Amino acid sequence: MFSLFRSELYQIRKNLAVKILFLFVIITSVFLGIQEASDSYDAEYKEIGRDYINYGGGRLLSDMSDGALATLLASLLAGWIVSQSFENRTIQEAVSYGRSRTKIYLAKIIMYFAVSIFTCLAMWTAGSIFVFIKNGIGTQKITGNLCQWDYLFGMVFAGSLAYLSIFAICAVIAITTQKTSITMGICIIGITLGFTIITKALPESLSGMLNYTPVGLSGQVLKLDVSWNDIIKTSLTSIAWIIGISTAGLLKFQKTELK
Amino acid sequence: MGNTVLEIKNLSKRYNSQWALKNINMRLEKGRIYGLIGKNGAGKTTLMRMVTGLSFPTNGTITLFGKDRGSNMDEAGKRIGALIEYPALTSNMTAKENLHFQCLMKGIPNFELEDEMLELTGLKNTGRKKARNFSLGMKQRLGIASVLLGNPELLLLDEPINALDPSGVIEIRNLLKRLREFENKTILISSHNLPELYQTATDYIIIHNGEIKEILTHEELEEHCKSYVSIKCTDINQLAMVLAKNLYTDNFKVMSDKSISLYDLPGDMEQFGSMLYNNGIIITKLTIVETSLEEYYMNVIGGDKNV
Repeated sequence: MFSLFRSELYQIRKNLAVKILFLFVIITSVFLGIQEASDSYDAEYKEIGRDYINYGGGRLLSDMSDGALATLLASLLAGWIVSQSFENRTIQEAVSYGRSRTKIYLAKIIMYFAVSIFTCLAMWTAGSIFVFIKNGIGTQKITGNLCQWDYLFGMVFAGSLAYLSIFAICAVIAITTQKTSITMGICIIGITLGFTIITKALPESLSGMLNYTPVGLSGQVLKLDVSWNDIIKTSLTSIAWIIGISTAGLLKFQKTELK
Repeated sequence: MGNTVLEIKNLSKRYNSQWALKNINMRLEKGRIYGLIGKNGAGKTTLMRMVTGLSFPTNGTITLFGKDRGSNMDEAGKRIGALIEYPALTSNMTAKENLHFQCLMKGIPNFELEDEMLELTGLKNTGRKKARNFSLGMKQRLGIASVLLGNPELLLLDEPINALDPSGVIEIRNLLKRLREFENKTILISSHNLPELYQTATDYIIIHNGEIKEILTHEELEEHCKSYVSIKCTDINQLAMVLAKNLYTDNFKVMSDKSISLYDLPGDMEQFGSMLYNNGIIITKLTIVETSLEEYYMNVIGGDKNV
Protein backbone atom coordinates (compact mmCIF):
# COMPACT_ATOMS: atom_id res chain seq x y z
CA MET A 1 0.00 0.00 0.00
CA PHE A 2 2.84 2.37 0.93
CA SER A 3 4.56 1.77 -2.40
CA LEU A 4 1.31 2.60 -4.19
CA PHE A 5 1.07 5.87 -2.26
CA ARG A 6 4.65 6.70 -3.16
CA SER A 7 4.00 5.99 -6.82
CA GLU A 8 0.82 8.11 -6.74
CA LEU A 9 2.71 10.97 -5.17
CA TYR A 10 5.49 10.65 -7.73
CA GLN A 11 2.97 10.64 -10.55
CA ILE A 12 1.31 13.81 -9.23
CA ARG A 13 4.66 15.52 -8.74
CA LYS A 14 5.41 14.86 -12.39
CA ASN A 15 1.96 15.86 -13.63
CA LEU A 16 2.43 19.15 -15.44
CA ALA A 17 -1.30 19.88 -15.73
CA VAL A 18 -1.82 19.51 -11.98
CA LYS A 19 1.20 21.71 -11.25
CA ILE A 20 0.01 24.41 -13.67
CA LEU A 21 -3.51 24.29 -12.22
CA PHE A 22 -2.15 24.64 -8.70
CA LEU A 23 0.09 27.56 -9.61
CA PHE A 24 -2.72 29.25 -11.54
CA VAL A 25 -5.11 28.88 -8.61
CA ILE A 26 -2.60 30.27 -6.12
CA ILE A 27 -1.48 33.18 -8.29
CA THR A 28 -5.09 34.13 -9.10
CA SER A 29 -6.15 33.82 -5.46
CA VAL A 30 -3.20 35.91 -4.26
CA PHE A 31 -3.91 38.55 -6.91
CA LEU A 32 -7.62 38.71 -6.05
CA GLY A 33 -6.83 38.54 -2.33
CA ILE A 34 -4.49 41.56 -2.56
CA GLN A 35 -7.01 43.43 -4.67
CA GLU A 36 -9.91 42.72 -2.33
CA ALA A 37 -7.90 43.76 0.72
CA SER A 38 -7.79 47.31 -0.62
CA ASP A 39 -9.70 50.17 1.04
CA SER A 40 -12.04 50.59 -1.95
CA TYR A 41 -13.32 47.01 -1.53
CA ASP A 42 -13.71 47.58 2.22
CA ALA A 43 -16.08 50.47 1.50
CA GLU A 44 -17.90 48.58 -1.22
CA TYR A 45 -18.64 45.51 0.95
CA LYS A 46 -19.71 47.78 3.81
CA GLU A 47 -22.09 49.58 1.51
CA ILE A 48 -23.82 46.40 0.32
CA GLY A 49 -24.17 45.13 3.87
CA ARG A 50 -21.51 42.43 3.63
CA ASP A 51 -19.00 44.02 5.93
CA TYR A 52 -18.01 40.60 7.29
CA ILE A 53 -16.06 39.91 4.07
CA ASN A 54 -13.64 42.65 5.10
CA TYR A 55 -12.43 40.44 7.96
CA GLY A 56 -10.44 37.22 7.86
CA GLY A 57 -13.18 34.91 9.14
CA GLY A 58 -15.82 36.34 6.85
CA ARG A 59 -13.53 36.42 3.87
CA LEU A 60 -12.64 32.75 4.34
CA LEU A 61 -16.34 31.95 4.62
CA SER A 62 -17.07 33.87 1.43
CA ASP A 63 -14.28 32.08 -0.46
CA MET A 64 -15.33 28.66 0.79
CA SER A 65 -18.95 29.29 -0.17
CA ASP A 66 -18.01 29.32 -3.85
CA GLY A 67 -18.92 25.67 -4.36
CA ALA A 68 -18.87 25.87 -8.14
CA LEU A 69 -15.18 26.81 -8.17
CA ALA A 70 -14.27 24.02 -5.77
CA THR A 71 -16.25 21.54 -7.90
CA LEU A 72 -14.54 22.82 -11.05
CA LEU A 73 -11.11 22.23 -9.49
CA ALA A 74 -12.12 18.80 -8.22
CA SER A 75 -13.50 17.87 -11.64
CA LEU A 76 -10.28 18.78 -13.41
CA LEU A 77 -8.23 16.92 -10.83
CA ALA A 78 -10.50 13.86 -11.04
CA GLY A 79 -9.79 13.74 -14.76
CA TRP A 80 -6.05 14.24 -14.43
CA ILE A 81 -5.41 12.11 -11.37
CA VAL A 82 -7.94 9.29 -11.70
CA SER A 83 -9.15 8.90 -15.29
CA GLN A 84 -5.79 9.63 -16.88
CA SER A 85 -4.30 6.64 -15.06
CA PHE A 86 -6.72 4.41 -16.95
CA GLU A 87 -5.87 6.10 -20.23
CA ASN A 88 -2.12 5.74 -19.80
CA ARG A 89 -2.69 2.20 -18.52
CA THR A 90 -0.82 2.60 -15.26
CA ILE A 91 -3.82 1.24 -13.34
CA GLN A 92 -3.97 -1.77 -15.68
CA GLU A 93 -0.24 -2.30 -15.11
CA ALA A 94 -0.75 -2.28 -11.34
CA VAL A 95 -3.64 -4.75 -11.61
CA SER A 96 -1.71 -7.10 -13.86
CA TYR A 97 1.25 -6.90 -11.47
CA GLY A 98 -1.02 -8.40 -8.85
CA ARG A 99 -1.67 -5.32 -6.74
CA SER A 100 -5.08 -5.71 -5.17
CA ARG A 101 -7.80 -3.61 -6.74
CA THR A 102 -8.86 -2.38 -3.31
CA LYS A 103 -5.38 -1.07 -2.53
CA ILE A 104 -5.01 0.52 -5.96
CA TYR A 105 -8.38 2.20 -5.55
CA LEU A 106 -7.68 3.42 -2.04
CA ALA A 107 -4.26 4.80 -2.95
CA LYS A 108 -5.72 6.57 -5.96
CA ILE A 109 -8.79 8.01 -4.26
CA ILE A 110 -7.00 9.07 -1.07
CA MET A 111 -4.35 10.85 -3.11
CA TYR A 112 -7.08 12.49 -5.21
CA PHE A 113 -8.90 13.66 -2.08
CA ALA A 114 -5.66 14.95 -0.61
CA VAL A 115 -4.62 16.91 -3.71
CA SER A 116 -8.12 18.30 -4.30
CA ILE A 117 -8.66 19.50 -0.77
CA PHE A 118 -5.08 20.76 -0.49
CA THR A 119 -5.60 22.82 -3.65
CA CYS A 120 -8.90 24.19 -2.32
CA LEU A 121 -7.39 24.99 1.09
CA ALA A 122 -4.45 26.72 -0.58
CA MET A 123 -6.87 28.69 -2.74
CA TRP A 124 -9.04 29.72 0.23
CA THR A 125 -6.00 30.59 2.35
CA ALA A 126 -4.28 32.58 -0.41
CA GLY A 127 -7.50 34.46 -1.08
CA SER A 128 -8.16 35.45 2.52
CA ILE A 129 -4.72 35.86 4.07
CA PHE A 130 -4.32 39.50 3.01
CA VAL A 131 -7.65 40.50 4.57
CA PHE A 132 -6.61 38.59 7.71
CA ILE A 133 -3.35 40.54 7.85
CA LYS A 134 -5.03 43.88 7.16
CA ASN A 135 -8.21 43.75 9.26
CA GLY A 136 -7.81 40.71 11.52
CA ILE A 137 -10.22 37.86 12.10
CA GLY A 138 -13.25 40.07 12.89
CA THR A 139 -15.51 40.70 15.83
CA GLN A 140 -18.50 38.81 17.21
CA LYS A 141 -20.81 41.57 15.95
CA ILE A 142 -19.53 41.45 12.38
CA THR A 143 -18.25 37.91 11.75
CA GLY A 144 -20.27 36.04 14.38
CA ASN A 145 -18.67 32.87 15.69
CA LEU A 146 -16.05 33.08 12.97
CA CYS A 147 -14.21 35.67 15.02
CA GLN A 148 -12.96 32.75 17.09
CA TRP A 149 -10.16 30.58 15.76
CA ASP A 150 -11.66 27.33 17.05
CA TYR A 151 -14.94 27.93 15.22
CA LEU A 152 -13.04 29.03 12.15
CA PHE A 153 -10.96 25.83 12.10
CA GLY A 154 -14.10 23.81 12.80
CA MET A 155 -15.87 25.44 9.85
CA VAL A 156 -12.90 24.83 7.54
CA PHE A 157 -12.67 21.21 8.70
CA ALA A 158 -16.37 20.42 8.36
CA GLY A 159 -16.67 22.48 5.15
CA SER A 160 -13.75 20.59 3.63
CA LEU A 161 -15.35 17.27 4.51
CA ALA A 162 -18.62 18.47 3.00
CA TYR A 163 -16.78 19.32 -0.22
CA LEU A 164 -15.02 15.96 -0.14
CA SER A 165 -18.43 14.29 -0.25
CA ILE A 166 -18.95 16.05 -3.63
CA PHE A 167 -15.40 15.22 -4.72
CA ALA A 168 -16.14 11.56 -3.96
CA ILE A 169 -18.85 11.69 -6.63
CA CYS A 170 -16.25 13.07 -9.08
CA ALA A 171 -13.91 10.19 -8.18
CA VAL A 172 -16.60 7.59 -8.85
CA ILE A 173 -17.44 9.25 -12.18
CA ALA A 174 -13.72 9.18 -13.05
CA ILE A 175 -13.48 5.47 -12.19
CA THR A 176 -16.58 4.72 -14.22
CA THR A 177 -15.80 6.68 -17.39
CA GLN A 178 -12.02 6.03 -17.40
CA LYS A 179 -11.70 8.96 -19.83
CA THR A 180 -10.19 12.27 -18.78
CA SER A 181 -12.30 14.59 -20.91
CA ILE A 182 -15.57 12.75 -20.27
CA THR A 183 -14.93 12.81 -16.51
CA MET A 184 -14.29 16.54 -16.58
CA GLY A 185 -17.36 17.18 -18.70
CA ILE A 186 -19.72 15.09 -16.58
CA CYS A 187 -18.35 16.45 -13.32
CA ILE A 188 -18.37 20.12 -14.30
CA ILE A 189 -21.66 20.20 -16.16
CA GLY A 190 -23.42 17.22 -14.60
CA ILE A 191 -22.75 17.97 -10.94
CA THR A 192 -23.29 21.74 -11.16
CA LEU A 193 -26.38 21.39 -13.31
CA GLY A 194 -27.60 18.31 -11.46
CA PHE A 195 -27.38 20.01 -8.08
CA THR A 196 -29.21 23.08 -9.40
CA ILE A 197 -31.98 20.95 -10.91
CA ILE A 198 -32.33 18.87 -7.75
CA THR A 199 -32.52 22.00 -5.62
CA LYS A 200 -35.13 23.62 -7.86
CA ALA A 201 -37.17 20.51 -8.65
CA LEU A 202 -37.51 19.12 -5.15
CA PRO A 203 -40.75 20.11 -3.38
CA GLU A 204 -40.27 22.53 -0.52
CA SER A 205 -41.37 19.91 2.00
CA LEU A 206 -38.48 17.68 0.96
CA SER A 207 -35.85 20.35 0.34
CA GLY A 208 -34.73 20.19 3.97
CA MET A 209 -33.45 16.69 3.27
CA LEU A 210 -30.89 18.12 0.87
CA ASN A 211 -29.04 19.57 3.85
CA TYR A 212 -28.05 16.00 4.69
CA THR A 213 -26.78 15.24 1.20
CA PRO A 214 -23.63 16.43 -0.59
CA VAL A 215 -25.82 19.04 -2.31
CA GLY A 216 -26.44 20.98 0.86
CA LEU A 217 -23.94 19.77 3.44
CA SER A 218 -21.49 22.63 3.03
CA GLY A 219 -24.29 25.15 3.57
CA GLN A 220 -24.76 23.78 7.08
CA VAL A 221 -21.36 25.01 8.25
CA LEU A 222 -20.52 27.82 5.86
CA LYS A 223 -22.28 30.50 7.86
CA LEU A 224 -21.34 33.17 10.39
CA ASP A 225 -23.37 31.69 13.24
CA VAL A 226 -21.93 28.21 12.81
CA SER A 227 -22.19 26.13 15.98
CA TRP A 228 -20.28 23.09 17.21
CA ASN A 229 -23.45 21.11 16.68
CA ASP A 230 -23.40 22.11 12.98
CA ILE A 231 -19.71 21.32 12.70
CA ILE A 232 -19.96 17.88 14.30
CA LYS A 233 -23.19 16.92 12.53
CA THR A 234 -21.90 18.04 9.13
CA SER A 235 -18.53 16.35 9.67
CA LEU A 236 -20.10 13.02 10.58
CA THR A 237 -22.69 13.17 7.79
CA SER A 238 -19.97 14.10 5.28
CA ILE A 239 -17.75 11.24 6.42
CA ALA A 240 -20.70 8.86 6.04
CA TRP A 241 -21.30 10.11 2.51
CA ILE A 242 -17.60 9.94 1.62
CA ILE A 243 -17.39 6.37 2.85
CA GLY A 244 -20.68 5.41 1.19
CA ILE A 245 -19.89 6.94 -2.19
CA SER A 246 -16.29 5.69 -2.14
CA THR A 247 -17.45 2.18 -1.28
CA ALA A 248 -19.85 2.26 -4.20
CA GLY A 249 -16.89 3.34 -6.39
CA LEU A 250 -14.76 0.52 -5.00
CA LEU A 251 -17.44 -2.09 -5.73
CA LYS A 252 -17.74 -0.70 -9.24
CA PHE A 253 -13.96 -0.76 -9.74
CA GLN A 254 -13.67 -4.32 -8.49
CA LYS A 255 -16.16 -5.48 -11.10
CA THR A 256 -14.86 -3.30 -13.90
CA GLU A 257 -13.17 -4.98 -16.82
CA LEU A 258 -10.12 -2.92 -17.65
CA LYS A 259 -9.44 -2.21 -21.29
CA MET B 1 3.41 -30.40 -13.79
CA GLY B 2 6.38 -28.84 -12.00
CA ASN B 3 7.37 -27.04 -15.17
CA THR B 4 3.89 -25.73 -15.87
CA VAL B 5 3.78 -21.97 -15.57
CA LEU B 6 0.25 -21.36 -16.79
CA GLU B 7 -2.60 -23.79 -17.18
CA ILE B 8 -5.95 -22.82 -18.60
CA LYS B 9 -8.92 -25.15 -18.41
CA ASN B 10 -12.26 -24.75 -20.19
CA LEU B 11 -11.89 -20.98 -20.26
CA SER B 12 -14.71 -19.06 -21.89
CA LYS B 13 -15.57 -15.42 -22.12
CA ARG B 14 -18.84 -13.96 -23.30
CA TYR B 15 -19.59 -10.32 -24.02
CA ASN B 16 -23.37 -9.95 -24.15
CA SER B 17 -24.40 -12.70 -26.54
CA GLN B 18 -21.03 -12.95 -28.27
CA TRP B 19 -18.50 -15.55 -27.21
CA ALA B 20 -15.02 -14.01 -27.33
CA LEU B 21 -13.38 -17.22 -26.12
CA LYS B 22 -14.82 -20.70 -26.20
CA ASN B 23 -13.59 -23.52 -24.03
CA ILE B 24 -9.88 -22.70 -24.15
CA ASN B 25 -7.50 -25.34 -22.83
CA MET B 26 -3.78 -24.79 -22.89
CA ARG B 27 -0.66 -25.21 -20.82
CA LEU B 28 2.53 -23.17 -20.95
CA GLU B 29 5.74 -24.84 -19.87
CA LYS B 30 8.71 -23.09 -18.34
CA GLY B 31 11.43 -21.79 -20.63
CA ARG B 32 9.51 -21.76 -23.89
CA ILE B 33 8.34 -19.03 -26.23
CA TYR B 34 4.74 -19.49 -27.32
CA GLY B 35 3.55 -17.67 -30.41
CA LEU B 36 -0.14 -16.86 -30.20
CA ILE B 37 -1.43 -16.61 -33.74
CA GLY B 38 -4.81 -15.34 -34.78
CA LYS B 39 -6.51 -12.66 -36.79
CA ASN B 40 -7.90 -9.48 -35.26
CA GLY B 41 -10.76 -10.33 -32.93
CA ALA B 42 -9.69 -13.97 -32.63
CA GLY B 43 -9.44 -13.64 -28.84
CA LYS B 44 -5.68 -13.21 -28.31
CA THR B 45 -5.89 -10.02 -26.28
CA THR B 46 -8.96 -11.21 -24.36
CA LEU B 47 -7.04 -14.32 -23.35
CA MET B 48 -4.07 -12.27 -22.12
CA ARG B 49 -6.33 -9.82 -20.30
CA MET B 50 -7.94 -12.65 -18.40
CA VAL B 51 -4.62 -14.18 -17.41
CA THR B 52 -3.51 -10.81 -16.01
CA GLY B 53 -6.76 -10.16 -14.15
CA LEU B 54 -7.84 -7.18 -16.24
CA SER B 55 -10.88 -9.11 -17.35
CA PHE B 56 -12.90 -11.86 -15.72
CA PRO B 57 -13.70 -15.28 -17.22
CA THR B 58 -17.30 -16.34 -17.79
CA ASN B 59 -16.31 -19.98 -17.22
CA GLY B 60 -13.17 -21.96 -16.61
CA THR B 61 -10.04 -21.77 -14.51
CA ILE B 62 -6.64 -20.17 -14.84
CA THR B 63 -3.83 -21.67 -12.81
CA LEU B 64 -0.63 -19.66 -12.49
CA PHE B 65 2.49 -21.28 -11.05
CA GLY B 66 0.38 -24.12 -9.70
CA LYS B 67 -2.18 -21.96 -7.90
CA ASP B 68 -5.57 -20.62 -8.85
CA ARG B 69 -5.26 -17.14 -10.35
CA GLY B 70 -8.24 -15.65 -8.52
CA SER B 71 -7.02 -16.37 -5.02
CA ASN B 72 -3.35 -16.03 -5.78
CA MET B 73 -3.12 -12.93 -7.95
CA ASP B 74 -1.05 -10.92 -5.45
CA GLU B 75 1.65 -13.56 -5.47
CA ALA B 76 1.34 -14.68 -9.08
CA GLY B 77 1.08 -11.18 -10.52
CA LYS B 78 4.58 -10.34 -9.35
CA ARG B 79 5.88 -13.23 -11.44
CA ILE B 80 4.13 -11.97 -14.57
CA GLY B 81 5.15 -9.16 -16.87
CA ALA B 82 2.46 -8.07 -19.29
CA LEU B 83 2.48 -5.69 -22.21
CA ILE B 84 -1.05 -5.74 -23.53
CA GLU B 85 -2.09 -3.69 -26.56
CA TYR B 86 0.04 -0.65 -25.75
CA PRO B 87 2.53 0.12 -23.01
CA ALA B 88 1.70 1.74 -19.67
CA LEU B 89 3.48 5.06 -20.00
CA THR B 90 3.06 8.47 -18.46
CA SER B 91 3.60 10.80 -21.38
CA ASN B 92 5.03 13.72 -19.42
CA MET B 93 7.78 11.63 -17.86
CA THR B 94 11.14 10.69 -19.35
CA ALA B 95 12.03 7.04 -19.95
CA LYS B 96 13.93 6.86 -16.66
CA GLU B 97 11.15 8.60 -14.75
CA ASN B 98 8.62 6.16 -16.19
CA LEU B 99 10.71 3.24 -15.01
CA HIS B 100 11.20 4.89 -11.63
CA PHE B 101 7.43 5.27 -11.32
CA GLN B 102 6.97 1.60 -12.23
CA CYS B 103 9.57 0.59 -9.63
CA LEU B 104 7.71 2.58 -6.97
CA MET B 105 4.35 1.16 -7.99
CA LYS B 106 5.63 -2.41 -8.05
CA GLY B 107 7.55 -1.95 -4.82
CA ILE B 108 10.87 -2.81 -6.44
CA PRO B 109 13.57 -1.38 -4.20
CA ASN B 110 16.43 -1.74 -6.68
CA PHE B 111 16.44 1.50 -8.69
CA GLU B 112 19.67 0.43 -10.45
CA LEU B 113 17.45 -1.83 -12.53
CA GLU B 114 16.11 1.27 -14.28
CA ASP B 115 19.46 1.95 -15.98
CA GLU B 116 19.94 -1.74 -16.75
CA MET B 117 16.57 -1.91 -18.48
CA LEU B 118 17.18 1.30 -20.42
CA GLU B 119 20.49 -0.11 -21.58
CA LEU B 120 18.90 -3.44 -22.48
CA THR B 121 16.20 -1.81 -24.59
CA GLY B 122 18.43 0.78 -26.20
CA LEU B 123 16.86 3.80 -24.50
CA LYS B 124 19.81 4.83 -22.38
CA ASN B 125 20.50 7.96 -24.41
CA THR B 126 17.00 9.41 -24.43
CA GLY B 127 17.98 11.81 -21.63
CA ARG B 128 15.31 14.36 -20.75
CA LYS B 129 13.11 13.58 -23.73
CA LYS B 130 9.53 13.04 -22.56
CA ALA B 131 7.71 9.84 -23.48
CA ARG B 132 5.12 11.84 -25.43
CA ASN B 133 7.87 12.75 -27.90
CA PHE B 134 8.96 9.14 -28.37
CA SER B 135 8.36 7.28 -31.61
CA LEU B 136 5.97 4.32 -31.44
CA GLY B 137 8.92 1.96 -31.48
CA MET B 138 10.60 3.75 -28.58
CA LYS B 139 7.37 3.63 -26.59
CA GLN B 140 7.11 -0.07 -27.28
CA ARG B 141 10.68 -0.64 -26.12
CA LEU B 142 10.05 1.40 -22.99
CA GLY B 143 6.98 -0.76 -22.38
CA ILE B 144 9.12 -3.88 -22.64
CA ALA B 145 11.69 -2.33 -20.29
CA SER B 146 9.00 -1.69 -17.68
CA VAL B 147 7.61 -5.20 -18.10
CA LEU B 148 11.05 -6.63 -17.37
CA LEU B 149 11.57 -4.53 -14.23
CA GLY B 150 10.11 -7.05 -11.82
CA ASN B 151 12.21 -9.87 -13.32
CA PRO B 152 9.03 -11.78 -14.26
CA GLU B 153 9.06 -15.50 -14.98
CA LEU B 154 6.17 -15.30 -17.42
CA LEU B 155 5.99 -12.59 -20.06
CA LEU B 156 2.74 -11.87 -21.87
CA LEU B 157 3.47 -9.69 -24.86
CA ASP B 158 0.64 -8.56 -27.09
CA GLU B 159 2.00 -7.39 -30.44
CA PRO B 160 5.30 -6.24 -28.91
CA ILE B 161 7.03 -5.62 -32.21
CA ASN B 162 4.27 -3.40 -33.53
CA ALA B 163 5.68 -0.21 -34.97
CA LEU B 164 9.27 -1.25 -34.42
CA ASP B 165 11.76 -0.56 -37.18
CA PRO B 166 13.67 -3.54 -38.61
CA SER B 167 16.61 -3.08 -36.27
CA GLY B 168 14.20 -2.75 -33.34
CA VAL B 169 12.50 -5.99 -34.36
CA ILE B 170 15.84 -7.78 -34.45
CA GLU B 171 16.81 -6.34 -31.05
CA ILE B 172 13.56 -7.47 -29.46
CA ARG B 173 13.78 -10.89 -31.10
CA ASN B 174 17.30 -11.36 -29.76
CA LEU B 175 16.25 -10.06 -26.35
CA LEU B 176 13.38 -12.54 -26.12
CA LYS B 177 15.63 -15.38 -27.20
CA ARG B 178 18.22 -14.37 -24.60
CA LEU B 179 15.55 -14.20 -21.90
CA ARG B 180 14.49 -17.72 -22.73
CA GLU B 181 17.91 -19.22 -23.16
CA PHE B 182 19.76 -17.60 -20.27
CA GLU B 183 17.00 -16.82 -17.80
CA ASN B 184 14.62 -19.66 -18.63
CA LYS B 185 11.66 -17.30 -18.92
CA THR B 186 8.38 -18.34 -20.42
CA ILE B 187 7.00 -15.97 -23.03
CA LEU B 188 3.57 -15.83 -24.63
CA ILE B 189 3.77 -13.50 -27.57
CA SER B 190 1.03 -12.58 -29.99
CA SER B 191 1.85 -11.09 -33.33
CA HIS B 192 0.53 -10.64 -36.81
CA ASN B 193 4.07 -10.82 -38.09
CA LEU B 194 4.16 -14.57 -38.67
CA PRO B 195 7.60 -14.76 -40.31
CA GLU B 196 8.97 -12.93 -37.26
CA LEU B 197 7.12 -15.24 -34.90
CA TYR B 198 8.54 -18.19 -36.81
CA GLN B 199 12.04 -16.99 -35.96
CA THR B 200 11.27 -16.47 -32.28
CA ALA B 201 8.76 -19.01 -31.00
CA THR B 202 9.37 -22.55 -29.81
CA ASP B 203 5.67 -23.36 -29.83
CA TYR B 204 2.60 -22.05 -31.60
CA ILE B 205 -0.98 -21.64 -30.48
CA ILE B 206 -3.40 -20.99 -33.31
CA ILE B 207 -6.57 -19.30 -32.18
CA HIS B 208 -9.53 -18.54 -34.39
CA ASN B 209 -12.94 -17.08 -33.53
CA GLY B 210 -12.31 -17.61 -29.84
CA GLU B 211 -11.28 -21.26 -30.16
CA ILE B 212 -7.87 -22.84 -30.09
CA LYS B 213 -7.47 -24.62 -33.38
CA GLU B 214 -4.05 -26.12 -32.83
CA ILE B 215 -1.10 -26.12 -30.48
CA LEU B 216 2.14 -27.36 -31.91
CA THR B 217 5.86 -27.15 -31.33
CA HIS B 218 8.27 -25.50 -33.73
CA GLU B 219 9.52 -28.95 -34.73
CA GLU B 220 6.01 -30.14 -35.47
CA LEU B 221 5.38 -27.03 -37.48
CA GLU B 222 8.56 -27.57 -39.44
CA GLU B 223 7.40 -31.10 -40.10
CA HIS B 224 4.10 -29.75 -41.38
CA CYS B 225 5.75 -26.99 -43.32
CA LYS B 226 8.62 -28.96 -44.76
CA SER B 227 9.37 -28.57 -48.41
CA TYR B 228 8.39 -31.23 -50.91
CA VAL B 229 8.61 -31.85 -54.63
CA SER B 230 5.32 -31.96 -56.48
CA ILE B 231 5.61 -34.05 -59.62
CA LYS B 232 3.06 -34.51 -62.37
CA CYS B 233 3.63 -37.03 -65.15
CA THR B 234 1.88 -39.17 -67.72
CA ASP B 235 1.91 -42.37 -65.62
CA ILE B 236 1.56 -41.84 -61.91
CA ASN B 237 1.78 -45.53 -60.96
CA GLN B 238 5.03 -45.98 -62.79
CA LEU B 239 6.42 -42.86 -61.13
CA ALA B 240 5.56 -44.27 -57.72
CA MET B 241 7.37 -47.49 -58.53
CA VAL B 242 10.43 -45.66 -59.88
CA LEU B 243 10.66 -43.52 -56.76
CA ALA B 244 10.41 -46.54 -54.48
CA LYS B 245 12.91 -48.57 -56.50
CA ASN B 246 15.50 -45.91 -57.29
CA LEU B 247 15.30 -43.55 -54.33
CA TYR B 248 14.50 -46.30 -51.79
CA THR B 249 11.78 -44.15 -50.28
CA ASP B 250 8.12 -44.44 -49.46
CA ASN B 251 8.01 -40.89 -48.13
CA PHE B 252 5.68 -39.65 -50.84
CA LYS B 253 1.97 -39.26 -51.32
CA VAL B 254 -0.23 -39.68 -54.35
CA MET B 255 -2.42 -36.64 -54.41
CA SER B 256 -5.98 -36.28 -55.66
CA ASP B 257 -4.86 -34.13 -58.59
CA LYS B 258 -2.84 -37.09 -59.93
CA SER B 259 0.45 -35.67 -58.77
CA ILE B 260 2.95 -37.10 -56.34
CA SER B 261 4.30 -35.14 -53.40
CA LEU B 262 7.80 -36.36 -52.60
CA TYR B 263 8.89 -35.32 -49.12
CA ASP B 264 12.51 -36.56 -49.32
CA LEU B 265 14.02 -33.75 -51.32
CA PRO B 266 16.56 -34.97 -53.88
CA GLY B 267 19.97 -33.39 -53.41
CA ASP B 268 20.62 -32.77 -57.08
CA MET B 269 17.52 -31.89 -59.05
CA GLU B 270 19.27 -32.26 -62.42
CA GLN B 271 20.34 -35.80 -61.56
CA PHE B 272 16.84 -36.54 -60.23
CA GLY B 273 15.29 -35.32 -63.49
CA SER B 274 17.57 -37.48 -65.63
CA MET B 275 16.89 -40.52 -63.43
CA LEU B 276 13.15 -40.15 -64.01
CA TYR B 277 13.70 -39.63 -67.74
CA ASN B 278 15.93 -42.69 -67.98
CA ASN B 279 13.17 -44.73 -66.32
CA GLY B 280 10.64 -43.66 -68.92
CA ILE B 281 8.83 -41.04 -66.87
CA ILE B 282 7.57 -38.08 -68.88
CA ILE B 283 7.35 -35.18 -66.44
CA THR B 284 4.65 -32.63 -67.21
CA LYS B 285 5.21 -30.47 -64.15
CA LEU B 286 7.79 -30.42 -61.36
CA THR B 287 7.62 -27.88 -58.54
CA ILE B 288 9.43 -27.47 -55.24
CA VAL B 289 6.74 -26.44 -52.76
CA GLU B 290 7.54 -24.68 -49.50
CA THR B 291 4.78 -24.13 -46.94
CA SER B 292 5.27 -21.11 -44.75
CA LEU B 293 3.81 -20.55 -41.29
CA GLU B 294 1.33 -18.20 -42.95
CA GLU B 295 0.15 -20.90 -45.32
CA TYR B 296 -0.04 -23.41 -42.52
CA TYR B 297 -2.05 -20.96 -40.42
CA MET B 298 -4.40 -20.36 -43.33
CA ASN B 299 -4.89 -24.10 -43.74
CA VAL B 300 -5.64 -24.55 -40.04
CA ILE B 301 -8.22 -21.78 -39.86
CA GLY B 302 -9.86 -22.97 -43.03
CA GLY B 303 -8.48 -20.88 -45.85
CA ASP B 304 -9.00 -17.41 -47.26
CA LYS B 305 -12.70 -17.25 -46.48
CA ASN B 306 -11.88 -17.03 -42.79
CA VAL B 307 -9.42 -14.16 -42.99
